[in-house]
Amino acid sequence: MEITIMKAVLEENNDRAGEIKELLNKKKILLLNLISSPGSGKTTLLEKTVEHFKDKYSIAVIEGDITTARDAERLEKYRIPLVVINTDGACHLNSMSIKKALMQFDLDDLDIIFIENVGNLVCPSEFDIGENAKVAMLSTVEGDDKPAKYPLLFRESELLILNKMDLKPYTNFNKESFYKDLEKINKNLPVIETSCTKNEGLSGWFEWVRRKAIDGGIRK
Amino acid sequence: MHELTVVSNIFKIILETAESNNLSKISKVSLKVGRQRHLAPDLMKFAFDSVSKNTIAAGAFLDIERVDIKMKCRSCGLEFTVKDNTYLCISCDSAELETISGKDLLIESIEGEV
Repeated sequence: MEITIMKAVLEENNDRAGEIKELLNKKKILLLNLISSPGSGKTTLLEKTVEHFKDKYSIAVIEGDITTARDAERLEKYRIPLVVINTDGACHLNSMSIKKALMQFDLDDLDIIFIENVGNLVCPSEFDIGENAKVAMLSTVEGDDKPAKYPLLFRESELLILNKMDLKPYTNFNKESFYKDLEKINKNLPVIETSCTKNEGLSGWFEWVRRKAIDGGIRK
Repeated sequence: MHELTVVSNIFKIILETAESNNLSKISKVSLKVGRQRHLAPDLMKFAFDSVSKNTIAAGAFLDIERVDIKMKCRSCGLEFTVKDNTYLCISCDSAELETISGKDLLIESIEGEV
């Protein structure tokens, strides 16, 4: 016998994501989901971001790591609320674990929560975890062909940070073909070119976050 | 390898369905998977075989229908299928598009015996 089901496979994940959205909307908290390959500069970007906004916004970070808390340790010096989710081998964060992580924060006291997803260009882009926006990060050393090879992330994201511009002269990164690919995949995707370790290009990112916070109804 | 997460979810849902319909065996699972998703059918089948081992779904056939990426242009209204990862209207070149399909990830039905 045949039984019709017609059910979304990720229904549970999507339901929890919906609850997170509702909760954070009520609490007026902006949730940004940072996705990139390992080593493209997510933690450095977060260090600079937390430092920049320390007197303006109350920030918390959720660190997704397969194992270890090394990224979180780098952020400890800023004395912000931090939760590490060890995925025990899983290649992405899901909304069930984000919901649990949120319960460890005092949500009445926060403006922005950054999620540093597990370093991976493929899997995290498949999962809605209740974020206001996905932010993709790519570094020049990874190659200009990444949007063409992993289009979903570049479709799903609202912003792309192209990092390690200072290292570009030492790579074969072709800016022209990078932007040409991107125009096909997501013409409306804004790109901010940065060198996080050199503090270059970050003002565009800070301004984007500030705008997003204003749009999210966060005062200040 | 998020195929394992996806397949584990599928497995949970079909087992619940089988139980509430008193099935003793699941022989086929029909799925719809949009082409926009980075999901490899072969890996899904491999993951399904591992997860379903020694259960009533063991050996079930995973019938995966790939769903084309379809967009509707917000400028000229044309509906078209996205090819070669080009998300631009094939008529007016606009990038203002609305997704019709392509991100689907759906369990349609199962077949089995009581």
